[in-house]
Amino acid sequence: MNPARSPWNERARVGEFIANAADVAWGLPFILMLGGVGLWFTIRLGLPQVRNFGHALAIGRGKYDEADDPGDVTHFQALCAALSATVGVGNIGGVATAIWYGGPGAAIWMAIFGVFGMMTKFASCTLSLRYRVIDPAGRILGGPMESLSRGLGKNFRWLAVMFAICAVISSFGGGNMVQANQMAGAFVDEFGPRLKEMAPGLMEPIHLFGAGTDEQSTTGVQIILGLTLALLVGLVIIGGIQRVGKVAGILVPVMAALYIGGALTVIVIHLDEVPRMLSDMFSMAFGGSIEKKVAGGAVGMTFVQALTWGAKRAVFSNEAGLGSAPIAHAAAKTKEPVREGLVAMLEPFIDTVVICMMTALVISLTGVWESWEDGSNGAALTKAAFDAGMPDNFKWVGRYTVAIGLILFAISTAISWSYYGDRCITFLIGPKAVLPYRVCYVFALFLGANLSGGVVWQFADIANAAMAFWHIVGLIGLSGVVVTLYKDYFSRDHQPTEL
Amino acid sequence: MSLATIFSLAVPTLALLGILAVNPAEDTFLSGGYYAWFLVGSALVVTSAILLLRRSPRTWKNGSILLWLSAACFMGAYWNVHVDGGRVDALRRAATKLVKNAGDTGAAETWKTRGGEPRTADASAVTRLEEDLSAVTAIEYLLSVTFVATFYMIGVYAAPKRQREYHVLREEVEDPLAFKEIYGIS
Repeated sequence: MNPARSPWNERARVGEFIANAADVAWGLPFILMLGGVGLWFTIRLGLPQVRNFGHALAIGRGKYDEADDPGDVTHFQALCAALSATVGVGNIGGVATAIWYGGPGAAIWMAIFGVFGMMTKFASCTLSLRYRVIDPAGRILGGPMESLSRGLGKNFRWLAVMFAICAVISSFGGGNMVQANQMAGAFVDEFGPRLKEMAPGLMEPIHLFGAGTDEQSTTGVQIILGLTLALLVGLVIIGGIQRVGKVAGILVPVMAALYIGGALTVIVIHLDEVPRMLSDMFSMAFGGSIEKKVAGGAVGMTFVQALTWGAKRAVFSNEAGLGSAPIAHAAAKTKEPVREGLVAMLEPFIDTVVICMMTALVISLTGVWESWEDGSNGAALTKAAFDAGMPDNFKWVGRYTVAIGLILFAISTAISWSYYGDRCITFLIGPKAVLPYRVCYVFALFLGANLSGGVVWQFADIANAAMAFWHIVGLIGLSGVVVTLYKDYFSRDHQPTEL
Repeated sequence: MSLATIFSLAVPTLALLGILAVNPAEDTFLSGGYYAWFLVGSALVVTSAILLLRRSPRTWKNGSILLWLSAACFMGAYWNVHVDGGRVDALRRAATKLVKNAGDTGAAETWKTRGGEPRTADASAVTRLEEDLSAVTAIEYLLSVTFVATFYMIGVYAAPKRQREYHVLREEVEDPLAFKEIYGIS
C-alpha cells in the first residue's frame, strides 16, 4: 500500500481538514458578523444598552412580573437558565487564551464586544418571545427556529430546520460531552494526586471501550463522575424548563458569587496596581504594541491581535448571536416580547463585561500570562493566576475557586443545553422525540466524562458556529420587527406591579 | 437603483481595491487560491445585484441563490489565505507554541504538519510570521468584511417587506404588533 494513502494518513488528513474547518467557522468572518449585528442594532436603536439598563435590571428583579402572564418561568429564572448555559469555560479558560495570544488589551475588546453582544441578544430574544408558540397543553416552543419560520415566512422554513439540526448536534457537543469532559478533567487535575495516594485503584487506567493507548483510557474516578453527572442532570432535565429554571435560579447566583468573590479577593490584594493595569490594558487595546519575553527572543503583540483575540473569546463566551439563549428566554412569563429582550440584554453584560473582566484582571495583575508556557490550556493559566494572586497560606482558595467554578459551570451548562436540544428536536420531530432525546443526552454525559473527543468535538464546534449563520439571516431580515416592537414598547407607560 | 444594489456593487469593488493596495511583495510567501475565490464571489455578487434590479419572483430567487453562493465563495477565499502552505490561524498558533516551547519536538512537528517549513525553534519564526502577516491580516479582514456584507444582503432580501416587493411571500406573515390585540394591550 502506498504509505501516503494509508488509513492513518487519511484519518490525519480528515482530522486536519475538520480542525481547519473549525478554525474558519469560528474565524474572523464569523466574529465580525456577530459583532456587526450587535453594532448595527446599537446604532438603529440608539444605544439601549445604556438608556434602558436600569429598566432591564428592574424587570430582572421581578418588579414587572405578573402571576397570570403566559409562560413557564419568571424573568429571573429565564435569565438564570440562559446564563447557566452561557457562563462556562469561556469565562475561565477563554479569557486566559485571549490574553496569552493578544495581551491584556484583548480583555478590553472582549468587554466592547460584550456590549455589542447585549444588543444581539436583545434582538434575538425579543423575536423569540414574539414568535413563540404555546401548544394546547400549555408547553412553550420558541427560539430562532420559530422566529425564522413564522417571521420570515414559508420560504425560509428550511433555515429554521437547519438551525434546529445544528442546535441538536451542538447540544451533544459543546453543551454536553465537552462540558462533562471539562468537569472530569478539572476534578482529576485538582483532586487526582490526592486520590492516587488515598485510593490508587480509582486512578488506574481502564479501557472502557476495548483496547487502546493509555491516552484513550479512562479511570475509575471518571466513571464515577460520569455516572454522578448523568444522574444529577437527568434528575433536573426530566422536570422540564420549570425545574431547569428553578435549579439554575439557585446554581447561577451561587457559582457567580463564588467565582466573583475569589476574583475580587485577588484584585483587592493587588488594589494599588489596578489603576496602572487598567491604563495599560486600554493603551494596549488601542494601538499600543507590547513585547512578551519568550525563550529565544520576544514576541510582539499588536492592536490587531488584541482586537481579534478579544472579539473571538467574547463571542465564544457570551454566545450572543448563536441563537441558543432565545430558546430559554422564550419560556418567560410575560406578554411583552421587549421586556424579555431587555432581561436577556443583561446576560452578555454579566458574562463578558463583569465575569470575564474579573478573570482578565486576575491574570493581568499577577503577571502570570507573561511567564505561562502554553496558551491553549487557558483554564490552567487562570488557575495559576489565582494561585499566584493569593497569599501563601490561602493558595488553596484560589485553586479551588477555579476548580469548583469549572465543575459548577460545566454542570449548569449541560443542564441548560438539554433544554435547547429538547425544544429543537420537538420542532423537528414532535413531542414524542423528547424522551428518547433526554435518555441519549444523559448517556452522552457519561461518555463525555470518559472519552477524549478530538475530531468529534471539532465537528460539534462547526455545528455550533453554523447555528449563528442561519440565525443571523433571521436577525437581519426581522430587524424591522425588532425596531417596531422596541418603539411601540417605549411609546407606552409601564408601571411596576405590586406583588 | 436601490441602496442595496449600490452596496452590493460597492463592497466587492472596494475590497478588490483594498486587496490590490495591500498585496504583499513578490518575495513573500502568500499562497493559496484566495484571489480566484474572491473574484468568483465578486462576480456573483455583481450579477445578483443586476438581477435584483428587476422586481420579479424569478429574479429574487436567482439573485438570492447567487448571494448565498457568493458568500460561500468569500468564505472559501478566507479559508484559502495560506502562509507557507498552511492556514494562517493554525500556523500562528503552532509558531507561537514552537517558540514558547523551544526545543519541544512535539511543537516542531505540529509546525511542520500544519504546513510550515521545518525550522529551528526560535523567536525568528514568529517574528517573521508577524512581520509578513500584516499584509495577510489586512487581506483576511477585507475578505471577512466582504463576506459579512454579502451575508447582510442575504438577510436584507429575506425580510418580509422585500419578499412582498418581489411577490414571493407565499402567505402573509403576522403583523409584529398583533400580540397586543391577543393579550388586550392598548
